[in-house]
Amino acid sequence: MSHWMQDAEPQQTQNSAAKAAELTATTDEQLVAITLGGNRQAFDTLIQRYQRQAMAVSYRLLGNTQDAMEVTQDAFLKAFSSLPTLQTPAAFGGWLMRIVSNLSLNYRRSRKTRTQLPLADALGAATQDDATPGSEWMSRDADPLHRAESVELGAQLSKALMQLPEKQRTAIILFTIEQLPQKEVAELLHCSVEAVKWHVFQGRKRLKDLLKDYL
Amino acid sequence: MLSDEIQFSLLEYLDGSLPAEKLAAIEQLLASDGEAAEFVREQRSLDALMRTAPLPMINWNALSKQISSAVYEEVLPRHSWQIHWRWIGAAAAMAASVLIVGGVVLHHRGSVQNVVHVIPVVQPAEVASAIVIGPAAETANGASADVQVGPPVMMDNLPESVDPADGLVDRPSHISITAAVR
Repeated sequence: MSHWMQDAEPQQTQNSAAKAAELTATTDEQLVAITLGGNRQAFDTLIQRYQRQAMAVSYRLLGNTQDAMEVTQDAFLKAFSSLPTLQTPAAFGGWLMRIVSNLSLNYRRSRKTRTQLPLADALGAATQDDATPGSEWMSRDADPLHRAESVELGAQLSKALMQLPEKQRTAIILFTIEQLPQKEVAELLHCSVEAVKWHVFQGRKRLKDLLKDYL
Repeated sequence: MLSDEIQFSLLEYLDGSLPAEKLAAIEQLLASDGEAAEFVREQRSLDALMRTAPLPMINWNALSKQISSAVYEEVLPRHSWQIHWRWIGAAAAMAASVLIVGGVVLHHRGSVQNVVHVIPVVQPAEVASAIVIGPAAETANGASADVQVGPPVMMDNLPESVDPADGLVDRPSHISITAAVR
């Protein structure tokens, strides 16, 4: 291998890293356009940007990490193949959450057994590098006691959500937790905005009872 | 105990969807009713709990790489097959076009060849001849006819104002054969 070739490789890596950093600061609308133009890295940026929210929605709806990861992966696959049909690229996030919710609900209803994809590697092996500053999802409390409480709270919430009827659970997760517009939630649940409010109201009442020790 | 209607309105107030005409009444209620204020505090606490509850530990880097690989392994080959089939379709269309054009050309060439081939086969037409015996000019053979040129007999009694000569000038001459002798 020539010296020129040896020097070229780190240069390429630097360029790739610079491009990735540039894409991180790009809007969803632009990333969608760049992806449609054939740039693979742009969709990777969207994956990195939304995988946590997608996992959160799916996990809350399914109550199972492995299933949630599979659904999240399927949702990104579906999003990628359906990307040309996305009418408002700026609303990619909400659109993706609707896909995640639909797939999660279908998954739960069908309870299909599928071949497990090699996703287990992603479970439990988070490193310090994976920690995103300000992430709301992961408990990184330095105090072991607080950390244990936090983990317990997460488990209790998951258990409580599972006790809600499907529409109440979905409305609470998408509207109250993920703060999607009521109209989008209504479309997903095939009901009116007033019905979404009612599902949220009923769900909250039940959750308040189930989680009263933590309030 | 707060009624369901009041609780519902307090939740609308919390999520910002309370109709404007109810806003003043709810704010007044919150300022004066401790139970209503406690309800709102509990709901805010519930919101915070739900939004901050952690997920199980996940290696996000590994997950994003896994998703990325799945996307490009599962979706892109399908796309390339689509392209592949598109090319096959285009090739088939081109082949069909060539066949159609070739067929048309051959058809036309075949038609021309038929003409070329048929013409030599056709026997030369025989020239038909016929002897027609028809009327022939007859000689006068001494016959004679008296010819009178003038106005017809019906004009004999014309009024004096009418000149028969005018008719001879304006109209074709009238010839009547009054007698013929062979």
